[in-house]
Amino acid sequence: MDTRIIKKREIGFLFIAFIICAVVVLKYYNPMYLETFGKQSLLQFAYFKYIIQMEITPKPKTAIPEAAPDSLKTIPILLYHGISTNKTQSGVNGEGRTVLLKDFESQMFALHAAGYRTITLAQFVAFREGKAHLPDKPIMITFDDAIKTSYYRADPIFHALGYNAIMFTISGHALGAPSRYYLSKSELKTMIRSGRWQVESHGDLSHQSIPTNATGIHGNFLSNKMYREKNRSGTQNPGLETTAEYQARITSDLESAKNSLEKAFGIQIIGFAFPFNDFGQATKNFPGSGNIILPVASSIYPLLFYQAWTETGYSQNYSYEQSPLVKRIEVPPNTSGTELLEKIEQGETKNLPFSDSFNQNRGWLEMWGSATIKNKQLVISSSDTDSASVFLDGTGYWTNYDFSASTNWIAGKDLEMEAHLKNNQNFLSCLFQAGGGVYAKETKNNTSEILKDVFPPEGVPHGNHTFGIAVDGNKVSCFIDGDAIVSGESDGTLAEGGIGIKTWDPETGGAHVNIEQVLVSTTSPSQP
Amino acid sequence: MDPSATFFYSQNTIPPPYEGNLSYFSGGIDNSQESFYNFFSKDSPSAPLLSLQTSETPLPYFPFVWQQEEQQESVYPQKISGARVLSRFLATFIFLALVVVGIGKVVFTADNPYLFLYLYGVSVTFVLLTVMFFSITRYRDPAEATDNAENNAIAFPYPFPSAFVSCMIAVHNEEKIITRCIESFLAQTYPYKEIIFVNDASTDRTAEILDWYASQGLIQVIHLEKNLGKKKALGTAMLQAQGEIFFFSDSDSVLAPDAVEKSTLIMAQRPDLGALSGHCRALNSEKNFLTKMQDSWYEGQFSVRKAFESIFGAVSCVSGPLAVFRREAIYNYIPAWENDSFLGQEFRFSTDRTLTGFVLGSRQIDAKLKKKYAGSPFVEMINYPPRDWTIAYAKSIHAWTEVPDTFTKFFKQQVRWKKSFIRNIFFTGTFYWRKPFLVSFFYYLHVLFVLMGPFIVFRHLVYLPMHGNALSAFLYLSGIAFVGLMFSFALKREEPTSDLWMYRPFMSLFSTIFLSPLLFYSLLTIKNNVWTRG
Repeated sequence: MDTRIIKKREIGFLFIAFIICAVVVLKYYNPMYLETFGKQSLLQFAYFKYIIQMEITPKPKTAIPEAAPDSLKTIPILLYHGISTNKTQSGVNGEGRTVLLKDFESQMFALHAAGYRTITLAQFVAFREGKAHLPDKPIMITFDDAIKTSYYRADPIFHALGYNAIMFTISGHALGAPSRYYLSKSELKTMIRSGRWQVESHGDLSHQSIPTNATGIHGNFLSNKMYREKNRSGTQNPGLETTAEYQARITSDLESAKNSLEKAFGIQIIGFAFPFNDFGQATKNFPGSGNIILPVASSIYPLLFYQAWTETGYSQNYSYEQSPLVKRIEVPPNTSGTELLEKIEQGETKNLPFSDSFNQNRGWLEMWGSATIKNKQLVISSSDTDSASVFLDGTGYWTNYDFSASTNWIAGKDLEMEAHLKNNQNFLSCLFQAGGGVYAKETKNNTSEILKDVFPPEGVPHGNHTFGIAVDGNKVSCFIDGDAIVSGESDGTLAEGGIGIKTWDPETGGAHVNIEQVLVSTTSPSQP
Repeated sequence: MDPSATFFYSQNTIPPPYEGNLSYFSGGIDNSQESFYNFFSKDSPSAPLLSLQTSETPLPYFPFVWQQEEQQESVYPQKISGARVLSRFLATFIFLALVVVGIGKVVFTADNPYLFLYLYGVSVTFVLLTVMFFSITRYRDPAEATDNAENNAIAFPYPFPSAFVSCMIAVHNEEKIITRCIESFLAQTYPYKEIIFVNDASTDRTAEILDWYASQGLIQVIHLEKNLGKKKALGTAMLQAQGEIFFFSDSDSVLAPDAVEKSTLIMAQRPDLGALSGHCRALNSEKNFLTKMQDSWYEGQFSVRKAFESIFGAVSCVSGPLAVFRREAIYNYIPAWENDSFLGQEFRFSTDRTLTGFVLGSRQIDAKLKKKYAGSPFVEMINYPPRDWTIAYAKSIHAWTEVPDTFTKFFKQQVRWKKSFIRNIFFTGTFYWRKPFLVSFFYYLHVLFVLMGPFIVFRHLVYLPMHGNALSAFLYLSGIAFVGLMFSFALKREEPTSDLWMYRPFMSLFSTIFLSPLLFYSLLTIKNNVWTRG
């Protein structure tokens, strides 16, 4: 009997057996899994660290004011890019937009301690439809570009705080070639599964630049026509693409971004954030691009996110807004938690009656010109332009009120008191012309209509006076020192909005107004 | 020689004895005709454990004198260089590989969106690991205890007939192989037995062969006029059986010469045992790839799975080729067995599993079955009280059975087995949970695995590849082959010089791809009771 243990014919099969075992072991222990596992373990570690940090941080014992009804809440949406631990890489010193991790931590913990709780995009949509159940202090946190550092540094914080966030993902990077900078498809899947992250679109290739003229100057993908060199076969002349080609190019990019993300993650994409916050403003060769980008984008995405600037009005989102455009606040690189909190609280709905003696800034924002608060005065001057405009943030829900300002009008031709202001193109106002008339005005979509005007015999004086505007239903009345001068009837479409002050002079730097006190009170119901 | 060598037979001549492949047996069957009458001859080449004193003088049949002989070498001699090292190495490798893969599954597939699939994958590995671990480290062959002569002398229940064995075999149209079976019974070393063959209305020359052996006084034969099926045929035999121990085998099987002896010793020493299963392998292993595959498969089914169940005394299926039952444990339930019905129809399959079920569930089924069949002679004659029997598996008691050598036959057999399995979920499954936790938990898990198997296979081999994940089929089949390899290594431990282990992964793949979907066919045709052996 053959008593050898291993025979020749078994050796080959042993080799196959070894390969099978190796395949099965590698199936579970492949480097990709191991790396993910390592990173996920670090996330868990950081999560526990934050949990402990939260436990040992003393909680402020401030009385929580009664929350406004959901329809009168404003929703701030924060925007971040990457998160850095290194000052040289962050926006503080470098050119990048990344925020320092310690700032981000301080911001998130400050928000949480102040009672802010994140909501999802679905809740935001419901909020606009008037159907949401929101936390007392709702907030949304968004990230652009889907950078690895955003996830790996923010996620444990969100986990500890119970927050969630939206990641505007560049599908061309996330689903394309592997990258050390951008999050990969599997990482995004893990994020979605955690329930703390929602993926939305940040374009497919549209986060790139394209040649805009023959000299090779590059511009943003979405807002410029592309300059094409002569192709090899010579059938095409060099030059800019046609408007139709331009439209087809951006349409296909936005559509493919949506489709590829939906297919990759099995989710529905409803939001789009404009790359470089450019929907026509930064164009180099196609001034009309905004008129194409917005309809195209809104036909594909119900919600279009952009970083608001003061001319677009309030810093936060209001429930009555129907436009697809959604405002975001880009958090500057070196912002501490308290600073951010202050900024957000300035944008929240203020209660009526309201009075402001300018001990601190309660949300006054300059649209143009110069507006500063010093010596308990709001100083408005057209320092390097012909006019200056300022408005009060967080007043967008106000309706039917008297707005009066104790003013030291030093110089300038016009002083305009604005009410029911939505943004720089929609408001009701009283225009006081130095030495001239008083006009009750209605401005809609940047088109002004004089409702009624009066020319007092002595004219409107400079100096210390109280100017006022009152809105009661359709009635717009203008006051000087408490005396009604003129009142007109608006068409009533501007049913709510906040307050603002504008001044103008034909000469550059010629307008100068100091506001000493502002009073706003609800209009007493008019007698029938 | 080919075990299925053609058997020439004419009516007026004594049929030549079986000349089978003898290499299976430790000693081989003695071919000489005289050996039929000289079981206890000192020349017996099989040198059994239980044997007469070797002396020059002829020995009386009774009383027995017990003598421990020099330990018989097992089928594979102990003196294989490196066998012990190899055995240790393979056992360690099996545990390590399964632990590594199991932990890998737990940790790195935790992101599986389907919790059920995750748990399925993890539990398959850990069940296998546990079964392997227990069967390798905890299983003790009950025959080991009987090696001690003093114990044997004390425990063996003399005087007879309390250790009288009734060997019963049902036969239906087996003229080509029945002689082989009869001869293997005649070659048994154990003397105190009767051999009853039931001819279940064979239409070929089976009856003539049986009658010839009966006429020589070697066996008893019962001829049935009508084909009644295996259960009723054996029921008839049991009515006239004298023994306290029932020893069943199949007409297509062959026993090791010491099979009856060893099992009787065990049954005598272990009064808690209600039944005992032997170790069964393929008789025609060398024939082709398919039979080799099955042979390697049988080894694992017995020495791993049955060994695991045996540790808890709850073997769930005492297999037909070598099944030993205590009369006390089954006698009253034979009418229920004969008249087994499922979905309102006589159910002819599931002979082994159901009979085992009676022993396992004695306490649960006793009153009901005795009441239902109160008029039956099996119940009227004597009333055995229900008991908590245990059932063991003895690795060292060998039997060999003919396995299907064509795919058609194999599929037919597997359909039959699947039907028996399904039928038995509704019988054994109703009380098996009373058994020790681990073994009963694994029993129900196994049922779940078998039922889910086709869906898992479909998902990995059809659905996922169709949805772009072509790698999944490859990885899944690798996983199946890996499980097969674990059984391969377990087999290599048992038979260090054999290369049969190489066929085991193929059996796993074959079983997964082709056999698991047979579940549906079996379910659909479960009322179709026709028993054909291909």
